[in-house]
Amino acid sequence: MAYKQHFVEWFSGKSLPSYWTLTQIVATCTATMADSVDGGMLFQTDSGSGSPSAFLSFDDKCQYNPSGFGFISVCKKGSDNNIGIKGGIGSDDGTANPAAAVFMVEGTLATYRTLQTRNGGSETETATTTAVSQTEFAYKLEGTGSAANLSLNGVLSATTGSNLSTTKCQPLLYIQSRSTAAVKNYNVRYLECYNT
Amino acid sequence: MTKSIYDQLNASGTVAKQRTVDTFSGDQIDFTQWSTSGDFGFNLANNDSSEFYNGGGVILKWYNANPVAGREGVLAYDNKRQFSPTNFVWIMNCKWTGTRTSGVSRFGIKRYSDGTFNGGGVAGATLGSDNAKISAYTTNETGGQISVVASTIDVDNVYHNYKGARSGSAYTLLIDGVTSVTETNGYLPVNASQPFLYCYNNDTTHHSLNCNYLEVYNT
Repeated sequence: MAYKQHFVEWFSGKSLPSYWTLTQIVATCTATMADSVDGGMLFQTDSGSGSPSAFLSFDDKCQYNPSGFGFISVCKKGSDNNIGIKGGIGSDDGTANPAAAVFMVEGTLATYRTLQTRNGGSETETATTTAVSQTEFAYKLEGTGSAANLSLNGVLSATTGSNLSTTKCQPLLYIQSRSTAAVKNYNVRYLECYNT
Repeated sequence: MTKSIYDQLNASGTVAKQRTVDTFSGDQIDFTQWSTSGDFGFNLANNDSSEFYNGGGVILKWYNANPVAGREGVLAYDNKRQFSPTNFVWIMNCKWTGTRTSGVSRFGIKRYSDGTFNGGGVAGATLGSDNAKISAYTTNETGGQISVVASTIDVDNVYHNYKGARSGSAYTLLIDGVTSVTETNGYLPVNASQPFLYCYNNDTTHHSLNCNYLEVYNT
């Protein structure tokens, strides 16, 4: 069997590796290595107005197939109020809603941790029964061609067959603040993405 | 069926803790990940030519023909400390080259990447002038109390696999998966730490440290 594209990021060391691109959607956000045990990468908004938000991406180098992929990440967010996070794969990093995407969505963007699929201008959100929280967790997204699945801490929690795109994608991490009162935090200490 | 690395390393449902892996391969050290500090006259190169056939990895070696006594250098994570001082494993494949009078090399995890070596806690191994045997090397948090506990293996100039682990109060160094040394003096770190590789020149002769694999993770 030919080996397919596979990427692993441990988010450890002095700084974020240079192959990551930080794209500001609404300024200004930062992505730095956390100086804390199990802290991984700290993705952070500022406290400015207009919903500061950004993507971490591969600068639109899209090597992953939404019809046959796996995406695994370990993360936590620092607040339950006025923050939204996404993680998964998407076709472009210049807009909060890429044309093609499979995301895990958390925070005030959703009441429950949610599977989001995007195809063209359409979107499907499939909620799990796991409420959003500040607890760290592992999630896995899978695309099989006929379905997209979201597993939380090893348990299959949401699946959909709607709005499945075939457009090539890249790993994407997204943060958005909906408050002008405070900096928002999103820690990610593991990311793996691979074609199947 | 493609298996994820995550699923191979972790039981189903596990929320994995922090981990780092470096194979020190490629045309240069990744200085987005690593920092240098101290009297850093140490040359750093991946795949040093003299080691081409046996996987030299990274080599710490004084940069010219005239080592200066009393100089030291640390390769670390620029004080990004993501590893627990009480529940961790570090694994490194290392080779020390030199005579014991020429200097000492240490590696493992420690609190600080800057300042003098003995500031902050250390949990590592030492090769060279500290002891004639490969030894576990630890300090308490001030660095004022140092524990060097010898194994039964002479310091030599060949690669060994080293594994340092701590779970609670005991720190153990495993050499080539067989010989075990347990720290017995209680001089152990208490604060978050980062990986490090270190060299110190005792005199004006060369010594060096190669490392071709490094992995650290919290348990």
